Amino acid sequence: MPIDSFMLDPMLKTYKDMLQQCIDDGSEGEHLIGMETALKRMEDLGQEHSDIAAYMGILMQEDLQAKFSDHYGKLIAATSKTQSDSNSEGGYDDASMLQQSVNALKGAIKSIQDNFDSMVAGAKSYDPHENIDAEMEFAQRHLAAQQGGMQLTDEQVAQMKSESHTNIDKEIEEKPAAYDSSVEIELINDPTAIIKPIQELIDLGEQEGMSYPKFLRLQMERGLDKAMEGNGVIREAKVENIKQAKASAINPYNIAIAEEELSLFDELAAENKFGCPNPKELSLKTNSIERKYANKIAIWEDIEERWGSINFGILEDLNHWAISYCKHAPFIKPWSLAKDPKKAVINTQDTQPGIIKEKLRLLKKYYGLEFEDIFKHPTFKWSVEHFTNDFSQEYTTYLIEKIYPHCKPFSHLPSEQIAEQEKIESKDTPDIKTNPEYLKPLINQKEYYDSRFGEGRFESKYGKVKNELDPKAEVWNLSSFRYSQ
Amino acid sequence: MIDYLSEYKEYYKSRELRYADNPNYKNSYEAEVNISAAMNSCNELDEFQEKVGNLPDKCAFALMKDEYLMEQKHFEKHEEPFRKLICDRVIEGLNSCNNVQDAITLALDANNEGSMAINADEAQREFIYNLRELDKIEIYSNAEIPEKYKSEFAASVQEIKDKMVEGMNRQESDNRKFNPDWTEKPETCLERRHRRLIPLNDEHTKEQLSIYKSIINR
Repeated sequence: MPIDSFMLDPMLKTYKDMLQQCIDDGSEGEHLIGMETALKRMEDLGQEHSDIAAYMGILMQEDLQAKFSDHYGKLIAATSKTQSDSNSEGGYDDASMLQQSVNALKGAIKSIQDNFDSMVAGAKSYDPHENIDAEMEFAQRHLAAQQGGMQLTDEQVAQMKSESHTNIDKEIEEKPAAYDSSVEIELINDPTAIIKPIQELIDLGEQEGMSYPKFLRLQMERGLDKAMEGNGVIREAKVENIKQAKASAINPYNIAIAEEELSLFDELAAENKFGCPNPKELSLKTNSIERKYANKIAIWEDIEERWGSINFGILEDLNHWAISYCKHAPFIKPWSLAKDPKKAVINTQDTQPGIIKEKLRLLKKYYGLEFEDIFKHPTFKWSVEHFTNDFSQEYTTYLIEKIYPHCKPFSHLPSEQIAEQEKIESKDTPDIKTNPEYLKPLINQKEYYDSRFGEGRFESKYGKVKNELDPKAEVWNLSSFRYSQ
Repeated sequence: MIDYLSEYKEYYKSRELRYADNPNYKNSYEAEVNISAAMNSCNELDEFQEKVGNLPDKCAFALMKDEYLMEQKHFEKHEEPFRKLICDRVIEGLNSCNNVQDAITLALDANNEGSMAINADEAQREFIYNLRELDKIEIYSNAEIPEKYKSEFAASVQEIKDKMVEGMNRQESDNRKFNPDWTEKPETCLERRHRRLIPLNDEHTKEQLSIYKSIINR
């Protein structure tokens, strides 16, 4: 059974387009045949194999993509040599060589602009209904090909399509840009910064009295050749990376990396006699910066996850243990998902203290941190300062003082504490558990997103930032939180 | 009337200056000095075609060599043998290249082969991705819990171990499609390029590695 065209066609499209372009340009000869042969082999293998990973493996083992690219490169080089040889016949023709360069640059602008326009048009004409239909048809074919796999009838697929269309339409009513990335694509891929230096080069080339050698020299001396490679765009991207890193505030290292990369760019630009960083030096030194922080980030993330208020960290476990004693526990997640929710609740009550003790043992074993040290640790303070801590100061203090002391293996929460927990969990009492600034990270990201893509764009794409929890606790104040001192 | 000869001499001088005083581009500088000298030795523009010979190709080779030397030094410093090997192959192979297209093919082949080796090497990181699962095994094995839950916890531990073995089998099966000899070798993760991704200290890393290896029997 061949690789489904849904997957194969996009993979081979680039090669087909490149080959067609060469044919349209009138190319011929051994390298064109080489390209055709490599592509045909890729197509044939796509018909012989059903497993995409095996297909990719064979492509790499037979070096087909490299062979195609190699023939393409040699074809282009041969074409350039032919043009260059015909230029030198009949003596040095400066005007012709200069014109050829300028024409190539004009062609480059056209190509860049055409690609951009095509990308934006594609984004604007994206039809989510059409896309989901294609995905479901692929799923139907893919499942049919699996031995013992689920078979979907045409009627079932039609029903699924109809339901998906309804859901998509409903989503678009609330979030008009949910399936429209044209604004983002247009902005991110805006070729203006690349086209500008190319146009400057064209203008230089078309100046009165310009010669080909002078043109070549001036473009180098003015850094226009480097600008054309996208130096300005690179710097702009690094500035955006800093803003993004600060808006996400995942950890201090991502921000440090982004800031150091920009400083590096400016440092190398200042050192360079043409005012542009050498791309190879920039790339290698940037790589060194990322490597410098890799282990620090791994440690930060590990510690954070171990104590965390999400993803089954210690604080989340304490919270769960306390909730498990409340009457409504069997009716909420995670216990409601169990086959026997009431039994699952008892399981949590009985086993969670032993699990938490083990998690604390590992935290101490690996990082020398006791329970009390969590709140002094930079990862905890960062989570408070950047609003990523789920719990309020009040509830965190409560977990430390009222829940943790009882959370020992073979012990249970005393009845007076259960009553207090029931009160905290009750819908009739104000929510003092949730961090009142829990929406700030999302708001920060929304603000960054809107500043980049236009006011209102975040909501149009991802929906309104809704305060669904109505927290009533005081905001965090680390200086008054004695466990952090 | 434009003095093309003088303008070309100025142009090639500028090319020299691009790499002057840059220790990373010694070969490029030397190649540019040679081509600039060839140009400067001309009294007529027409002489250059004969004098230049394959000096432009040598400039391209020199630039490639300089940049691969930079990468080679970088990957040596960061103990990345498979990435360094790409550089070694290109630098060595440039000596046999007759023209720029040969050099491009050389680089393409070296990078393609190198990518396969890098992918096969990075596929050895299963141990790292299983660190949290190893934690769970330790937690569920040692947690102080009532007797009635012990068999359930033991079953959870076994399930995690079974999934690790399944994961290892799948990894080997997938990687053998590209490299028939590929086998999971978790000790590879102790090498610096992988080790930097592990948050634990050396002693604890080796301890967890030993446990993982015994589970997957590798």
